[in-house]
Amino acid sequence: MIAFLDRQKRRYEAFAEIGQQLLKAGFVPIATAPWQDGGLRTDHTPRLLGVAASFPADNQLDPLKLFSLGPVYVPETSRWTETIDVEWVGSVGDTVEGEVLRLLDRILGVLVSEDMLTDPAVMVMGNVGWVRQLGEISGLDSGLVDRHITHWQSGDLTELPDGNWPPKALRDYFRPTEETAFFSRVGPVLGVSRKDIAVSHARMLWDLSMVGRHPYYTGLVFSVYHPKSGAELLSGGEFALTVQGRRFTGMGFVLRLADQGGSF
Amino acid sequence: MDMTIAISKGRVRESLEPLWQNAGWQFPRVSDSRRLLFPPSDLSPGIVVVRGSDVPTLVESGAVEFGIVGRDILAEQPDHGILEVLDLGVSGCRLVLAGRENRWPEGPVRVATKYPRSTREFFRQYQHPVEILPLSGSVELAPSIGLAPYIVDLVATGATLRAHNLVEIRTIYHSTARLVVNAGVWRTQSASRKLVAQLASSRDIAEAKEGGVGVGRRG
Repeated sequence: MIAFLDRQKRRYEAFAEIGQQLLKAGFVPIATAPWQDGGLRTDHTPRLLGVAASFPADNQLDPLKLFSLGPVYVPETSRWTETIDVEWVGSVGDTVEGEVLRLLDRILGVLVSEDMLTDPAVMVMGNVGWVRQLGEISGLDSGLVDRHITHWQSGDLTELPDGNWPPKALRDYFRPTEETAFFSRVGPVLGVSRKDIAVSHARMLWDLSMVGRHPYYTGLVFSVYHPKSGAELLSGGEFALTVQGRRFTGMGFVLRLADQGGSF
Repeated sequence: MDMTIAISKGRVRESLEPLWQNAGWQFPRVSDSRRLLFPPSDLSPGIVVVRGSDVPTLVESGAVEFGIVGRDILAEQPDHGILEVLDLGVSGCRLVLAGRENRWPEGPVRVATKYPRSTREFFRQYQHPVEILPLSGSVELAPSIGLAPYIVDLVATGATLRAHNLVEIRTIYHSTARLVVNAGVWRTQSASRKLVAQLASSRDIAEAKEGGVGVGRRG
Protein backbone atom coordinates (compact mmCIF):
# COMPACT_ATOMS: atom_id res chain seq x y z
CA MET A 1 0.00 0.00 0.00
CA ILE A 2 2.85 2.37 0.82
CA ALA A 3 4.27 1.92 -2.69
CA PHE A 4 0.85 2.67 -4.21
CA LEU A 5 0.39 5.82 -2.13
CA ASP A 6 3.93 6.91 -2.87
CA ARG A 7 3.27 6.49 -6.61
CA GLN A 8 0.09 8.58 -6.35
CA LYS A 9 1.97 11.27 -4.42
CA ARG A 10 4.75 11.47 -7.00
CA ARG A 11 2.20 11.61 -9.78
CA TYR A 12 0.46 14.53 -8.08
CA GLU A 13 3.79 16.29 -7.48
CA ALA A 14 4.67 15.89 -11.15
CA PHE A 15 1.27 17.24 -12.14
CA ALA A 16 1.68 20.26 -9.87
CA GLU A 17 5.28 20.91 -10.99
CA ILE A 18 4.32 20.73 -14.67
CA GLY A 19 1.51 23.22 -13.98
CA GLN A 20 4.06 25.56 -12.37
CA GLN A 21 6.42 25.21 -15.36
CA LEU A 22 3.58 26.10 -17.73
CA LEU A 23 2.58 29.14 -15.66
CA LYS A 24 6.22 30.28 -15.63
CA ALA A 25 6.33 29.92 -19.43
CA GLY A 26 3.31 32.24 -19.74
CA PHE A 27 0.61 29.62 -20.38
CA VAL A 28 -2.83 30.23 -18.84
CA PRO A 29 -4.94 27.38 -17.42
CA ILE A 30 -8.43 27.02 -18.91
CA ALA A 31 -10.97 24.45 -17.70
CA THR A 32 -12.78 22.43 -20.37
CA ALA A 33 -16.00 20.50 -19.72
CA PRO A 34 -15.72 16.70 -19.56
CA TRP A 35 -19.01 16.43 -21.50
CA GLN A 36 -18.84 18.12 -24.89
CA ASP A 37 -20.98 18.25 -27.99
CA GLY A 38 -23.13 15.32 -26.88
CA GLY A 39 -20.15 13.10 -26.03
CA LEU A 40 -17.40 12.52 -23.51
CA ARG A 41 -14.27 14.68 -23.74
CA THR A 42 -11.65 12.87 -25.83
CA ASP A 43 -9.51 15.90 -26.69
CA HIS A 44 -9.08 19.27 -24.95
CA THR A 45 -7.87 21.09 -28.08
CA PRO A 46 -11.17 21.97 -29.87
CA ARG A 47 -12.67 23.18 -26.58
CA LEU A 48 -9.61 25.30 -25.74
CA LEU A 49 -9.90 26.88 -29.18
CA GLY A 50 -13.63 27.31 -28.58
CA VAL A 51 -12.75 29.49 -25.60
CA ALA A 52 -10.39 31.50 -27.82
CA ALA A 53 -13.11 31.82 -30.48
CA SER A 54 -15.54 33.23 -27.92
CA PHE A 55 -13.52 36.49 -27.96
CA PRO A 56 -13.69 38.86 -30.96
CA ALA A 57 -10.83 38.45 -33.43
CA ASP A 58 -9.63 41.99 -32.73
CA ASN A 59 -9.35 41.17 -29.03
CA GLN A 60 -7.16 38.12 -29.55
CA LEU A 61 -3.69 37.70 -28.10
CA ASP A 62 -1.04 36.48 -30.54
CA PRO A 63 0.35 34.13 -29.45
CA LEU A 64 -2.31 32.82 -27.14
CA LYS A 65 -0.79 30.29 -24.74
CA LEU A 66 -3.28 28.00 -23.00
CA PHE A 67 -3.30 24.74 -21.13
CA SER A 68 -5.95 22.49 -19.65
CA LEU A 69 -5.81 19.73 -17.06
CA GLY A 70 -8.12 16.77 -16.65
CA PRO A 71 -8.91 13.29 -17.87
CA VAL A 72 -9.97 12.44 -21.42
CA TYR A 73 -12.06 9.45 -22.41
CA VAL A 74 -10.34 6.77 -24.47
CA PRO A 75 -13.01 5.71 -26.99
CA GLU A 76 -14.08 2.04 -27.10
CA THR A 77 -12.14 1.17 -23.95
CA SER A 78 -14.28 2.53 -21.06
CA ARG A 79 -11.09 4.15 -19.75
CA TRP A 80 -10.11 7.70 -18.87
CA THR A 81 -6.54 8.99 -18.96
CA GLU A 82 -5.31 11.93 -16.90
CA THR A 83 -3.88 14.56 -19.24
CA ILE A 84 -2.30 17.98 -19.50
CA ASP A 85 -3.02 19.64 -22.84
CA VAL A 86 -0.78 22.53 -23.89
CA GLU A 87 -1.62 24.79 -26.86
CA TRP A 88 0.37 27.59 -28.45
CA VAL A 89 -2.15 29.37 -30.68
CA GLY A 90 -0.65 31.66 -33.33
CA SER A 91 1.75 31.51 -36.26
CA VAL A 92 4.27 28.72 -36.04
CA GLY A 93 7.81 28.91 -37.40
CA ASP A 94 11.17 27.50 -36.42
CA THR A 95 11.38 29.74 -33.33
CA VAL A 96 7.99 28.64 -31.98
CA GLU A 97 8.74 24.99 -32.80
CA GLY A 98 11.96 25.31 -30.82
CA GLU A 99 10.22 27.00 -27.89
CA VAL A 100 7.43 24.40 -27.69
CA LEU A 101 9.91 21.52 -27.91
CA ARG A 102 12.10 23.06 -25.18
CA LEU A 103 8.98 23.27 -23.00
CA LEU A 104 8.21 19.64 -23.78
CA ASP A 105 11.76 18.74 -22.77
CA ARG A 106 11.36 20.58 -19.45
CA ILE A 107 8.18 18.55 -18.83
CA LEU A 108 10.05 15.32 -19.54
CA GLY A 109 12.68 16.63 -17.10
CA VAL A 110 9.99 16.82 -14.39
CA LEU A 111 9.13 13.16 -15.03
CA VAL A 112 12.83 12.31 -14.70
CA SER A 113 13.16 14.25 -11.46
CA GLU A 114 10.14 12.43 -10.01
CA ASP A 115 11.70 9.06 -11.00
CA MET A 116 8.90 8.41 -13.44
CA LEU A 117 11.32 8.19 -16.33
CA THR A 118 14.61 6.47 -15.51
CA ASP A 119 15.97 6.17 -19.07
CA PRO A 120 15.71 8.65 -21.94
CA ALA A 121 12.29 8.47 -23.61
CA VAL A 122 11.94 7.75 -27.33
CA MET A 123 10.64 10.66 -29.37
CA VAL A 124 9.36 9.84 -32.85
CA MET A 125 8.80 12.76 -35.19
CA GLY A 126 7.01 13.04 -38.51
CA ASN A 127 5.85 15.89 -40.68
CA VAL A 128 2.52 15.97 -42.52
CA GLY A 129 3.76 18.88 -44.63
CA TRP A 130 6.77 16.86 -45.80
CA VAL A 131 4.52 13.95 -46.79
CA ARG A 132 2.45 16.35 -48.94
CA GLN A 133 5.65 17.80 -50.40
CA LEU A 134 6.90 14.30 -51.24
CA GLY A 135 3.56 13.58 -52.95
CA GLU A 136 3.99 16.73 -55.04
CA ILE A 137 7.56 15.77 -55.99
CA SER A 138 6.30 12.30 -57.03
CA GLY A 139 3.58 13.92 -59.17
CA LEU A 140 0.89 12.25 -57.05
CA ASP A 141 -2.62 13.67 -57.07
CA SER A 142 -3.21 15.61 -53.82
CA GLY A 143 -6.41 13.59 -53.20
CA LEU A 144 -4.38 10.39 -53.19
CA VAL A 145 -1.85 11.90 -50.79
CA ASP A 146 -4.77 12.83 -48.51
CA ARG A 147 -6.01 9.22 -48.71
CA HIS A 148 -2.63 7.96 -47.56
CA ILE A 149 -2.52 10.43 -44.68
CA THR A 150 -6.06 9.50 -43.56
CA HIS A 151 -5.14 5.80 -43.89
CA TRP A 152 -2.11 6.24 -41.60
CA GLN A 153 -4.06 8.45 -39.19
CA SER A 154 -6.53 5.59 -38.76
CA GLY A 155 -3.59 3.39 -37.67
CA ASP A 156 -3.45 1.38 -40.92
CA LEU A 157 0.13 1.18 -42.20
CA THR A 158 -0.55 -1.48 -44.84
CA GLU A 159 -0.21 -0.48 -48.46
CA LEU A 160 -3.23 1.04 -50.19
CA PRO A 161 -4.47 -1.11 -53.12
CA ASP A 162 -3.83 1.48 -55.83
CA GLY A 163 -0.86 2.86 -53.95
CA ASN A 164 2.56 2.19 -55.41
CA TRP A 165 3.43 5.07 -53.14
CA PRO A 166 5.46 6.10 -51.16
CA PRO A 167 8.31 5.62 -53.64
CA LYS A 168 10.16 2.33 -53.06
CA ALA A 169 13.48 4.14 -52.55
CA LEU A 170 12.04 6.04 -49.59
CA ARG A 171 9.78 3.42 -47.98
CA ASP A 172 12.31 2.66 -45.25
CA TYR A 173 11.80 6.20 -44.00
CA PHE A 174 8.11 5.56 -43.42
CA ARG A 175 9.13 3.63 -40.32
CA PRO A 176 11.21 4.78 -37.33
CA THR A 177 14.73 5.72 -38.46
CA GLU A 178 17.68 7.22 -36.64
CA GLU A 179 17.89 10.96 -37.19
CA THR A 180 21.25 11.03 -39.03
CA ALA A 181 20.27 8.31 -41.51
CA PHE A 182 16.87 9.95 -42.05
CA PHE A 183 18.23 13.37 -42.93
CA SER A 184 21.10 12.07 -45.06
CA ARG A 185 18.59 10.29 -47.34
CA VAL A 186 15.32 12.27 -47.07
CA GLY A 187 16.88 15.68 -46.53
CA PRO A 188 18.22 16.15 -50.09
CA VAL A 189 14.91 14.95 -51.62
CA LEU A 190 12.82 17.41 -49.63
CA GLY A 191 15.42 20.14 -49.34
CA VAL A 192 15.32 20.02 -45.55
CA SER A 193 18.05 19.59 -43.02
CA ARG A 194 18.25 18.37 -39.47
CA LYS A 195 17.01 20.96 -37.01
CA ASP A 196 18.91 21.63 -33.87
CA ILE A 197 16.11 20.55 -31.57
CA ALA A 198 17.17 20.63 -27.95
CA VAL A 199 15.31 17.66 -26.48
CA SER A 200 17.78 16.22 -24.02
CA HIS A 201 15.50 13.73 -22.27
CA ALA A 202 14.58 11.70 -25.35
CA ARG A 203 16.31 9.78 -28.12
CA MET A 204 15.07 11.11 -31.46
CA LEU A 205 13.75 9.00 -34.35
CA TRP A 206 12.00 10.13 -37.55
CA ASP A 207 9.16 8.33 -39.33
CA LEU A 208 7.18 9.83 -42.20
CA SER A 209 4.19 7.56 -41.46
CA MET A 210 3.86 9.42 -38.15
CA VAL A 211 1.04 11.80 -39.06
CA GLY A 212 -0.79 11.95 -35.72
CA ARG A 213 -4.26 10.66 -34.96
CA HIS A 214 -6.13 13.91 -35.61
CA PRO A 215 -6.98 15.29 -39.03
CA TYR A 216 -6.03 18.83 -37.95
CA TYR A 217 -2.25 18.27 -38.03
CA THR A 218 -0.49 20.17 -40.80
CA GLY A 219 3.26 20.10 -40.12
CA LEU A 220 5.55 18.66 -37.47
CA VAL A 221 3.95 15.79 -35.52
CA PHE A 222 5.51 13.86 -32.65
CA SER A 223 4.95 11.21 -30.00
CA VAL A 224 7.12 10.47 -26.99
CA TYR A 225 7.17 6.89 -25.73
CA HIS A 226 8.31 5.25 -22.52
CA PRO A 227 11.60 3.53 -23.43
CA LYS A 228 10.70 0.21 -21.78
CA SER A 229 6.93 -0.30 -21.96
CA GLY A 230 6.42 1.64 -25.20
CA ALA A 231 3.49 3.46 -23.56
CA GLU A 232 2.81 6.82 -25.22
CA LEU A 233 3.64 9.57 -22.74
CA LEU A 234 3.03 12.58 -24.89
CA SER A 235 1.94 13.48 -28.43
CA GLY A 236 1.23 16.58 -30.43
CA GLY A 237 2.12 18.71 -33.40
CA GLU A 238 1.43 21.69 -35.55
CA PHE A 239 -2.25 22.19 -36.33
CA ALA A 240 -4.83 24.23 -38.25
CA LEU A 241 -8.37 23.96 -36.98
CA THR A 242 -11.58 25.86 -37.66
CA VAL A 243 -13.69 26.37 -34.55
CA GLN A 244 -16.93 28.37 -34.56
CA GLY A 245 -16.09 29.70 -38.01
CA ARG A 246 -12.63 30.95 -36.99
CA ARG A 247 -9.44 29.37 -38.26
CA PHE A 248 -6.71 28.80 -35.70
CA THR A 249 -3.16 27.67 -36.31
CA GLY A 250 -0.65 26.71 -33.67
CA MET A 251 1.28 23.94 -32.04
CA GLY A 252 0.34 21.85 -29.04
CA PHE A 253 0.79 18.61 -27.22
CA VAL A 254 -0.91 16.45 -24.65
CA LEU A 255 0.84 14.66 -21.80
CA ARG A 256 -0.86 11.45 -20.69
CA LEU A 257 -0.33 10.53 -17.07
CA ALA A 258 -1.60 6.99 -17.55
CA ASP A 259 -0.69 4.20 -15.17
CA GLN A 260 0.90 2.18 -17.97
CA GLY A 261 3.95 -0.01 -17.95
CA GLY A 262 4.61 0.85 -14.35
CA SER A 263 5.80 4.29 -15.47
CA PHE A 264 3.29 6.26 -13.43
CA MET B 1 12.14 -14.19 -29.53
CA ASP B 2 10.68 -12.04 -26.79
CA MET B 3 7.49 -10.93 -28.52
CA THR B 4 4.04 -12.36 -27.92
CA ILE B 5 1.18 -12.44 -30.42
CA ALA B 6 -2.51 -12.64 -29.45
CA ILE B 7 -4.41 -14.76 -31.94
CA SER B 8 -8.10 -15.37 -32.23
CA LYS B 9 -9.75 -18.71 -31.90
CA GLY B 10 -11.12 -20.39 -35.01
CA ARG B 11 -10.24 -19.90 -38.66
CA VAL B 12 -7.53 -17.31 -38.14
CA ARG B 13 -5.61 -19.63 -35.85
CA GLU B 14 -5.97 -22.58 -38.24
CA SER B 15 -4.57 -20.68 -41.19
CA LEU B 16 -1.43 -19.49 -39.40
CA GLU B 17 0.52 -22.74 -39.27
CA PRO B 18 1.93 -22.48 -42.84
CA LEU B 19 3.07 -18.91 -42.14
CA TRP B 20 4.93 -20.11 -39.05
CA GLN B 21 6.57 -22.91 -41.04
CA ASN B 22 7.72 -20.54 -43.81
CA ALA B 23 9.21 -18.25 -41.16
CA GLY B 24 11.18 -21.21 -39.77
CA TRP B 25 9.16 -21.23 -36.58
CA GLN B 26 7.22 -24.04 -34.97
CA PHE B 27 3.57 -23.32 -34.33
CA PRO B 28 2.66 -24.41 -30.78
CA ARG B 29 0.20 -27.30 -30.57
CA VAL B 30 -2.64 -25.04 -29.55
CA SER B 31 -5.41 -27.29 -30.88
CA ASP B 32 -4.24 -30.32 -28.85
CA SER B 33 -4.37 -28.42 -25.63
CA ARG B 34 -6.65 -26.43 -23.38
CA ARG B 35 -3.79 -24.03 -22.74
CA LEU B 36 -4.30 -20.46 -23.88
CA LEU B 37 -0.81 -19.12 -23.16
CA PHE B 38 2.35 -20.31 -24.93
CA PRO B 39 5.37 -18.25 -23.81
CA PRO B 40 7.97 -17.06 -26.35
CA SER B 41 10.72 -19.58 -27.10
CA ASP B 42 13.58 -20.05 -29.57
CA LEU B 43 11.09 -21.86 -31.81
CA SER B 44 8.25 -19.34 -31.93
CA PRO B 45 7.06 -15.97 -30.71
CA GLY B 46 4.76 -16.36 -27.70
CA ILE B 47 1.10 -16.99 -28.41
CA VAL B 48 -1.98 -16.06 -26.44
CA VAL B 49 -5.27 -17.52 -27.66
CA VAL B 50 -8.20 -15.18 -27.06
CA ARG B 51 -11.50 -14.10 -28.59
CA GLY B 52 -10.96 -12.08 -31.76
CA SER B 53 -12.82 -9.09 -30.37
CA ASP B 54 -10.38 -8.97 -27.42
CA VAL B 55 -7.22 -8.88 -29.56
CA PRO B 56 -7.19 -5.07 -30.09
CA THR B 57 -7.62 -4.46 -26.34
CA LEU B 58 -4.72 -6.76 -25.43
CA VAL B 59 -2.44 -5.10 -27.98
CA GLU B 60 -3.43 -1.55 -27.11
CA SER B 61 -2.91 -2.15 -23.40
CA GLY B 62 0.60 -3.51 -24.00
CA ALA B 63 -0.27 -6.91 -22.47
CA VAL B 64 1.04 -8.40 -25.73
CA GLU B 65 3.10 -6.75 -28.45
CA PHE B 66 1.22 -8.11 -31.48
CA GLY B 67 -2.15 -9.46 -32.47
CA ILE B 68 -3.56 -11.29 -35.46
CA VAL B 69 -7.19 -10.50 -36.09
CA GLY B 70 -9.68 -10.26 -38.96
CA ARG B 71 -10.22 -6.93 -40.68
CA ASP B 72 -13.92 -7.29 -39.83
CA ILE B 73 -13.11 -6.98 -36.13
CA LEU B 74 -10.80 -4.01 -36.66
CA ALA B 75 -13.52 -2.28 -38.68
CA GLU B 76 -15.92 -2.72 -35.76
CA GLN B 77 -13.41 -1.44 -33.22
CA PRO B 78 -11.58 1.57 -34.65
CA ASP B 79 -9.74 4.21 -32.55
CA HIS B 80 -7.85 1.64 -30.53
CA GLY B 81 -4.51 3.35 -30.99
CA ILE B 82 -2.98 0.18 -32.42
CA LEU B 83 -1.26 -0.05 -35.80
CA GLU B 84 -2.23 -2.44 -38.59
CA VAL B 85 1.09 -3.33 -40.19
CA LEU B 86 0.59 -6.38 -42.39
CA ASP B 87 -2.16 -8.03 -44.37
CA LEU B 88 -1.38 -11.72 -43.88
CA GLY B 89 -3.60 -12.71 -46.80
CA VAL B 90 -5.12 -15.68 -44.96
CA SER B 91 -8.60 -16.39 -43.60
CA GLY B 92 -10.18 -14.54 -46.52
CA CYS B 93 -13.91 -13.88 -46.34
CA ARG B 94 -16.39 -11.15 -47.23
CA LEU B 95 -18.85 -9.06 -45.28
CA VAL B 96 -22.05 -9.10 -47.32
CA LEU B 97 -25.58 -7.79 -47.33
CA ALA B 98 -27.91 -10.74 -47.91
CA GLY B 99 -31.65 -11.31 -48.17
CA ARG B 100 -34.26 -13.60 -49.67
CA GLU B 101 -33.84 -12.12 -53.16
CA ASN B 102 -30.99 -10.39 -54.94
CA ARG B 103 -32.71 -7.01 -54.76
CA TRP B 104 -31.58 -3.77 -53.12
CA PRO B 105 -34.00 -2.92 -50.27
CA GLU B 106 -36.69 -0.39 -51.02
CA GLY B 107 -37.30 2.26 -48.37
CA PRO B 108 -36.19 2.11 -44.73
CA VAL B 109 -34.74 -1.28 -43.96
CA ARG B 110 -34.17 -3.45 -40.87
CA VAL B 111 -30.93 -5.43 -40.88
CA ALA B 112 -29.80 -8.07 -38.39
CA THR B 113 -26.04 -8.21 -37.87
CA LYS B 114 -23.05 -8.81 -35.63
CA TYR B 115 -21.40 -5.85 -37.39
CA PRO B 116 -23.46 -2.77 -36.50
CA ARG B 117 -20.74 -0.19 -37.18
CA SER B 118 -19.82 -1.54 -40.63
CA THR B 119 -23.53 -1.91 -41.51
CA ARG B 120 -24.37 1.63 -40.42
CA GLU B 121 -21.39 3.00 -42.35
CA PHE B 122 -22.35 1.02 -45.48
CA PHE B 123 -25.92 2.31 -45.55
CA ARG B 124 -24.75 5.82 -44.66
CA GLN B 125 -22.65 5.84 -47.85
CA TYR B 126 -25.84 5.12 -49.81
CA GLN B 127 -27.83 7.60 -47.67
CA HIS B 128 -30.29 4.77 -47.11
CA PRO B 129 -32.23 4.73 -43.80
CA VAL B 130 -31.47 1.62 -41.76
CA GLU B 131 -32.51 0.13 -38.44
CA ILE B 132 -29.87 -2.18 -37.02
CA LEU B 133 -30.89 -5.25 -35.08
CA PRO B 134 -27.75 -6.27 -33.20
CA LEU B 135 -27.32 -10.04 -32.77
CA SER B 136 -24.30 -11.92 -31.46
CA GLY B 137 -24.79 -15.12 -33.47
CA SER B 138 -27.01 -17.20 -35.80
CA VAL B 139 -27.66 -14.06 -37.79
CA GLU B 140 -28.73 -16.01 -40.88
CA LEU B 141 -31.84 -17.15 -39.00
CA ALA B 142 -33.21 -13.61 -38.79
CA PRO B 143 -35.12 -13.51 -42.13
CA SER B 144 -36.65 -17.01 -41.59
CA ILE B 145 -38.06 -16.17 -38.16
CA GLY B 146 -39.25 -12.67 -39.05
CA LEU B 147 -36.67 -10.69 -37.09
CA ALA B 148 -35.34 -8.76 -40.07
CA PRO B 149 -35.66 -9.22 -43.86
CA TYR B 150 -31.95 -8.58 -44.43
CA ILE B 151 -28.71 -9.55 -42.74
CA VAL B 152 -25.12 -8.36 -42.88
CA ASP B 153 -22.72 -11.17 -42.11
CA LEU B 154 -19.34 -12.71 -42.95
CA VAL B 155 -19.32 -15.22 -45.77
CA ALA B 156 -16.51 -17.56 -46.76
CA THR B 157 -18.09 -20.04 -49.18
CA GLY B 158 -21.73 -18.92 -49.05
CA ALA B 159 -22.90 -22.40 -47.95
CA THR B 160 -24.55 -21.13 -44.75
CA LEU B 161 -26.45 -18.48 -46.69
CA ARG B 162 -27.65 -21.05 -49.22
CA ALA B 163 -28.72 -23.40 -46.43
CA HIS B 164 -31.03 -20.65 -45.18
CA ASN B 165 -32.34 -19.69 -48.63
CA LEU B 166 -30.48 -16.39 -48.61
CA VAL B 167 -28.59 -14.73 -51.46
CA GLU B 168 -25.85 -12.12 -51.48
CA ILE B 169 -26.92 -8.65 -52.56
CA ARG B 170 -23.74 -6.62 -52.10
CA THR B 171 -20.21 -7.22 -50.85
CA ILE B 172 -19.42 -4.58 -48.24
CA TYR B 173 -15.72 -5.43 -47.95
CA HIS B 174 -13.21 -8.25 -48.18
CA SER B 175 -11.65 -9.30 -44.92
CA THR B 176 -8.37 -11.09 -44.25
CA ALA B 177 -6.28 -11.67 -41.14
CA ARG B 178 -4.21 -8.63 -40.20
CA LEU B 179 -1.12 -8.30 -38.05
CA VAL B 180 -1.56 -5.46 -35.56
CA VAL B 181 1.02 -4.05 -33.19
CA ASN B 182 1.14 -1.78 -30.17
CA ALA B 183 2.08 1.65 -31.57
CA GLY B 184 4.75 2.31 -28.95
CA VAL B 185 6.35 -1.10 -29.45
CA TRP B 186 6.43 -0.61 -33.25
CA ARG B 187 8.04 2.79 -32.95
CA THR B 188 10.51 2.08 -30.16
CA GLN B 189 11.61 -1.56 -30.59
CA SER B 190 13.37 -2.52 -33.80
CA ALA B 191 12.83 -6.22 -32.98
CA SER B 192 9.12 -5.67 -33.65
CA ARG B 193 9.88 -4.46 -37.18
CA LYS B 194 12.10 -7.50 -37.78
CA LEU B 195 9.26 -9.81 -36.77
CA VAL B 196 6.91 -8.05 -39.22
CA ALA B 197 9.49 -8.35 -42.02
CA GLN B 198 9.83 -12.06 -41.24
CA LEU B 199 6.08 -12.63 -41.40
CA ALA B 200 5.84 -10.57 -44.61
CA SER B 201 8.44 -12.81 -46.29
CA SER B 202 6.65 -15.85 -44.98
CA ARG B 203 3.35 -14.62 -46.43
CA ASP B 204 5.04 -13.95 -49.80
CA ILE B 205 6.44 -17.50 -49.83
CA ALA B 206 2.97 -18.91 -49.07
CA GLU B 207 1.41 -16.85 -51.86
CA ALA B 208 4.10 -17.85 -54.33
CA LYS B 209 3.37 -21.50 -53.52
CA GLU B 210 -0.32 -20.87 -54.16
CA GLY B 211 0.55 -19.03 -57.36
CA GLY B 212 -1.08 -15.72 -56.60
CA VAL B 213 -2.07 -13.07 -54.16
CA GLY B 214 -4.31 -14.12 -51.25
CA VAL B 215 -8.04 -13.44 -51.29
CA GLY B 216 -8.73 -9.75 -50.99
CA ARG B 217 -5.19 -8.94 -49.94
CA ARG B 218 -4.10 -5.42 -50.50
CA GLY B 219 -0.72 -4.38 -51.78
